[in-house]
Amino acid sequence: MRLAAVLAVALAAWVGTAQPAPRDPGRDQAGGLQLVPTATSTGSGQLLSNSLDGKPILTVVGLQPGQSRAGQVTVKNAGTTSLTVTVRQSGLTSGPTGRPNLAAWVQLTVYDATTNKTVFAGAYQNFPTSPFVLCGAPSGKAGCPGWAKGETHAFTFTVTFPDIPKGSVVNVNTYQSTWLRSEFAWATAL
Amino acid sequence: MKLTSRASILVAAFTAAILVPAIAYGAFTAGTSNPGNTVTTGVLKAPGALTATAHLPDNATNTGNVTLTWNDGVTGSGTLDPAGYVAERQTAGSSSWQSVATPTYGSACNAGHVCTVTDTSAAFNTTYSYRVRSTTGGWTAGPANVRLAASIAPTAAEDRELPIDALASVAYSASGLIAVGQNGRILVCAGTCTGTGAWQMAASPTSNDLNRVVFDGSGSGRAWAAGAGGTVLTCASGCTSASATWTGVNAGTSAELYGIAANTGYVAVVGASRTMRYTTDANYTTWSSGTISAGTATTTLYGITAKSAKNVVVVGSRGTGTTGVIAACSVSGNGVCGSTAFAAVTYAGGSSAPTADMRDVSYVSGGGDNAYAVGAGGNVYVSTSLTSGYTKKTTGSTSDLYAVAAVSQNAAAAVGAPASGGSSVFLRCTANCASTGTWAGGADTGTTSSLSGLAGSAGSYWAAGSGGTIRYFNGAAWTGQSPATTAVNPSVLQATDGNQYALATASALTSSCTAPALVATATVPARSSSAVTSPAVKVTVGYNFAGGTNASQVALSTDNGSTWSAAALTGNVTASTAKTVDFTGTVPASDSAQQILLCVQGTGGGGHLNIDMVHVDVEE
Repeated sequence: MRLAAVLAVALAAWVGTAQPAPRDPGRDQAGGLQLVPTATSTGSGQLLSNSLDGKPILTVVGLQPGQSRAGQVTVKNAGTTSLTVTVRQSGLTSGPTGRPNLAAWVQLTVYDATTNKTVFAGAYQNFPTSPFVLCGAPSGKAGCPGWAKGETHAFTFTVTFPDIPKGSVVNVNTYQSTWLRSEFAWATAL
Repeated sequence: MKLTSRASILVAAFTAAILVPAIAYGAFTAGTSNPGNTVTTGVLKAPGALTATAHLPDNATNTGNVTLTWNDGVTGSGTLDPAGYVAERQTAGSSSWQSVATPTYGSACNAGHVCTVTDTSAAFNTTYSYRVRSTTGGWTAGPANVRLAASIAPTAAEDRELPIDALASVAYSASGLIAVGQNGRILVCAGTCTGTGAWQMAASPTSNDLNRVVFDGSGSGRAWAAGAGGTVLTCASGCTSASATWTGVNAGTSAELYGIAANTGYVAVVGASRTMRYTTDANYTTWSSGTISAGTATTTLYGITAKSAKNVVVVGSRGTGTTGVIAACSVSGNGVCGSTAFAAVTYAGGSSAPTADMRDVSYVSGGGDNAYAVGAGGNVYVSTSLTSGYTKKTTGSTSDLYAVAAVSQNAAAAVGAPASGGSSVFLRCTANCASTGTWAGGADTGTTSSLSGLAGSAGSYWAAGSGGTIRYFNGAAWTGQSPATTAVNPSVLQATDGNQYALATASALTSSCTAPALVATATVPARSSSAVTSPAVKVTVGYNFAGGTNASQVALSTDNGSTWSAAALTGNVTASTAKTVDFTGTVPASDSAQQILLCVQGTGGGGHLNIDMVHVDVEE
């Protein structure tokens, strides 16, 4: 009987979030997605709140060599118990066609102000596409603590266009007028 | 049924999650997302069309400045202002670009989006290409175009012959000589001026004919000139230098002036219709009319010489009378000559007043106040007391004498018109010239040009006359000296070094290259590819006028001077301001270097033209 109840809850959760598809901001959040507690409020039944829910963290225009731009998002355990919070990148695309991959050149760092740690640093395209615990530990490794009920983390996502040393043979000129686009999806793990 | 299958799978997954929860979060309970993260890079503004303008050279370093100008961004080329620019140049024939300046955006561009940078190390006689790229970090944009800045100085130049202006008078001082003549021309020859001489054109503030030049008798070095239209010029110092400053003095007359004398604060001029004006004003601003009682109202006074303000002699034509004028003034009390009237001199030794026009008179001290007066028909009158007791000398010549030079009691000479079928007359006296000495024909002047001016020193003489003739007598023979119309060495054009080009003051500027003009040759590089069909050429000429204000123009010929393009005309150019004038046209496309001719002309205020630089900028 107890197992049946757990399964019922898990089934409901899995149907909506086990494979969270990239969210389309224009998409109606009705239907099956309504099963997912994604509201930014901390109302009853919601496990995570996201200060920018449904909105981008990064909207960077005109990035140029040596320049960094940042965006902040605050994620909170809005549930009633401790949770493990994960994030993953999805839907990464870059362009225009035939141009070098900007996501391979620009660097992304994620800084957690709550823990005062840089929890990710690497090429933008290397941000995990599998659920990943932003705690500073190597991707996919154990050892990250859960978030206590009500625990809030303020993440700063920073993209940087690395300049090249003077005299370098690397040609970054072709990155002018290129772009990338992706989604960050947060979830809790049981 | 399907639900059953999915539930089975879920059970398996859930079980795994429980077992290794930190390794695989295979089941998720709640989520939120941040879609639409975008990163877009900028596009650097490319520099706008480049122009390259050369400036006057630096005398000290003999380098030129080339200023590059462009707009900070081509519309639509990008959105990002660059951090800076890289200005590069390429020597013709080289395949590599050399950075000459890397200004920041802020230092290169003004609020109007106009950016400039100067290459201060451009060498003369060197062809460069210039380009400018914008930069931000490792990004670059541009260049919009490449400008060829070719041959900052021309590779060759020639002087298009100047019109020959008659010279009317020449004066000697220990520092050199000055000759003046038609069209306000002033020539100077500094130093000893022997041999072929080194005559240069000095700036003249007038285009009126100058008839007479003298140095102040005080030995101050000040020089004076007089001419048509009541023109009186003076130069305070350094007057035998091409850079001397001559200024006009208002003597209060518009009469043509033929003679001028200056001695220790006294300046007097004489001319047509018995005009005589004099001043003792230290600033030469207040002039008075003098009285000549000799001659007639139509007498032209051609010469005047002054021992002082109180002892002056004038000579002139017969007018409507029968005798040429030799008149003197000798003041013993107050007053100066002019306020005290001039009266005909007395004659001695059985001589009587000349029956011909008298053209010149000269005074020199030593063994008496020796004076020599000459005139038409070979007339030579001498006196040892300046203002009286004139004696006619027998010369054996009937040629008209126009000028006399008094070097000493034992050295004097006269020159004038050519004898019938022969050279111009030269009478010379080598001893006791104002008394018992003999005036006789001297060495052959070697010219048939009428000689109107004569100056002397020791046994040497310089004569100037029609056709711009300048002759030098070294004590034994006459030789020609070169007026300032010699060919131009290209190196002349590489720096402002005092070499100058005389301009006819009344020439009209036309679309053809007519004398007087400087014709310079510059090289246009071969086109870079056969796709270039009509290279545009922009020629910049740096120059200034010395003396007066002038209009000027530059014309271009791409067919070796057969035809000239429409002139690029510029307005008045002040004497003291170096100026550049641009000419823009096209040249035939050529796979080899080609030469173009540049014609620089000027007119207006007289003086002369200094060419400092010729710069050719070719855009393909």
